[in-house]
Amino acid sequence: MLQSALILAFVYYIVYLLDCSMAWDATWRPLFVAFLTGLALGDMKTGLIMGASLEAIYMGISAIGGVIPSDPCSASILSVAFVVLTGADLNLVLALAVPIGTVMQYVSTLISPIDISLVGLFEKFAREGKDKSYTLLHYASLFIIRPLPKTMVVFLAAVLGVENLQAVTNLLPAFVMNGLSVSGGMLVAVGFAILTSMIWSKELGIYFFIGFACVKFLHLPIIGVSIFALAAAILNYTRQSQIKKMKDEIIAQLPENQEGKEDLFG
Amino acid sequence: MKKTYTPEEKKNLRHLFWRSGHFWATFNMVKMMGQTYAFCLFPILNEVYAGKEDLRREAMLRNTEFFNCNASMSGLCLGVSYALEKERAANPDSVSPQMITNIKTSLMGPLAAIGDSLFFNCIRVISGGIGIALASQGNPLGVVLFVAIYGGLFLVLKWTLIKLGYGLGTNVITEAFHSGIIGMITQSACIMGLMMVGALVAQMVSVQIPLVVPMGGGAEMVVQTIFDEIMPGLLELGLLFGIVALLKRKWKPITVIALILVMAITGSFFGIF
Repeated sequence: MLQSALILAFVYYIVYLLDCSMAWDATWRPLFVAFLTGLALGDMKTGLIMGASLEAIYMGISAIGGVIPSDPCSASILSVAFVVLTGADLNLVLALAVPIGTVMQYVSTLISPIDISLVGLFEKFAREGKDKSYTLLHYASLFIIRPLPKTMVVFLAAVLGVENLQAVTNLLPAFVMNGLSVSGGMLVAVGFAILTSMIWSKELGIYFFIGFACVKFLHLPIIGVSIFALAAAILNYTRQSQIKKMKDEIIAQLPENQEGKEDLFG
Repeated sequence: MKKTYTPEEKKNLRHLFWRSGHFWATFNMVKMMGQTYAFCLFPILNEVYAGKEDLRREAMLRNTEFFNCNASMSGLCLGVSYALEKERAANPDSVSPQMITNIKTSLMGPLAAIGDSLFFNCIRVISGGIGIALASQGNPLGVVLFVAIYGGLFLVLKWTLIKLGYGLGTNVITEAFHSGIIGMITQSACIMGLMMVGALVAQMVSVQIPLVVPMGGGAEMVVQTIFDEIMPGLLELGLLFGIVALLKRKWKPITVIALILVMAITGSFFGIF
């Protein structure tokens, strides 16, 4: 069991590295992950068949704004392992896959403060212009800091079984879990606050609230808002260029500029 | 018309392509893809701001800002950023840092929406359909085709968009300089940037207070309803501008983050969240 748990953790790590070095979705999907797990455990056929079914199940579940309701990657690894190692009924395990993914997603939320803790350090290196240290931290995050906890959880889940893992997460008071998941929606505000204070302008600030109201009150999709934003920008641009043209004409007609003196408004 | 690139440009475009593969490596709820965005631009910033240390540091920090987009469509933003940073290095007074951020920010929202629906609702469904049909019969070709079509199109589109963004950025900005309209473009970009940030805040930031206060005699007061009756999104706006005020008072972002985590967990303990 220990040996196959190590294999599964390794499969997770490989899939994770592929995902974090290409940024595509393709190698993180059940079709690929289940195939790879099957291959690693010496039963490619089961991996392929389960991958096909899991892909169909997960096709309908997609990430919205970075929040995934159920982790397809670890769900695929653990459910294929379940069937190959214990010879459990394939259809029974397929029904369990999404709940397994949800437990694993819970764990991801629980360890998310680890990623957030690096924000300050990254900012410090960027502010001081230390691109080498920043790059080093980036690779440390890529190869170790981010994958390690989750790889260990996949290993533990394979050794203990997902039910026991759930029992462990249940030991944590519910308010910690709830607090961490509500903090997600609020932490995004920090990123936006830095962005807003960067681009804020007193005379144009009203456009921020127009954009906000378009989504909150009119429930427009982002594409719809971007059409309005583009229109507002073009209107502003044409008005500005009309003003500039008028200014130029007035300046040209001023008596002291009639002889081609320098442009006052440049 | 085929654009020809200098060896440096080719090298930098390739840097953008490979480095932007790391978007999930430092993903978090605060900056989302922002930290990797800066990492993608490092070789370019080091090159164009060589000998201008202040500008380089400013650009490095500025590019770590919040960024969230579809990983493939983000290529357009990266290409445009490359062109703008290059232009800023040549004309630091005309191309303001705000303008670069505004253009990046107004692009990321609509590109994310287009890219996510293109990949998740269209390309993934088609390539997944082919893959599932073959894999369910135990044929490994299904997996190969799925990764080749889905992943391949992802990379092809990203590479095309990086080049397109760089070309557009260079042409538009050079044109704007020649006709002296850069100031007007800066203001229009600011309008778009602010409006899109407002929209994204409304969409992504969420504060919910489901606390119910019993008022005696069976009556009860739901806190969230009261705020929603005043104005939906009031709490979100309050939180955002509260953080803006804290940042203005030189609070470090990491302190604000820690405060929010503590607030969320203790608030959750007392049943506020």
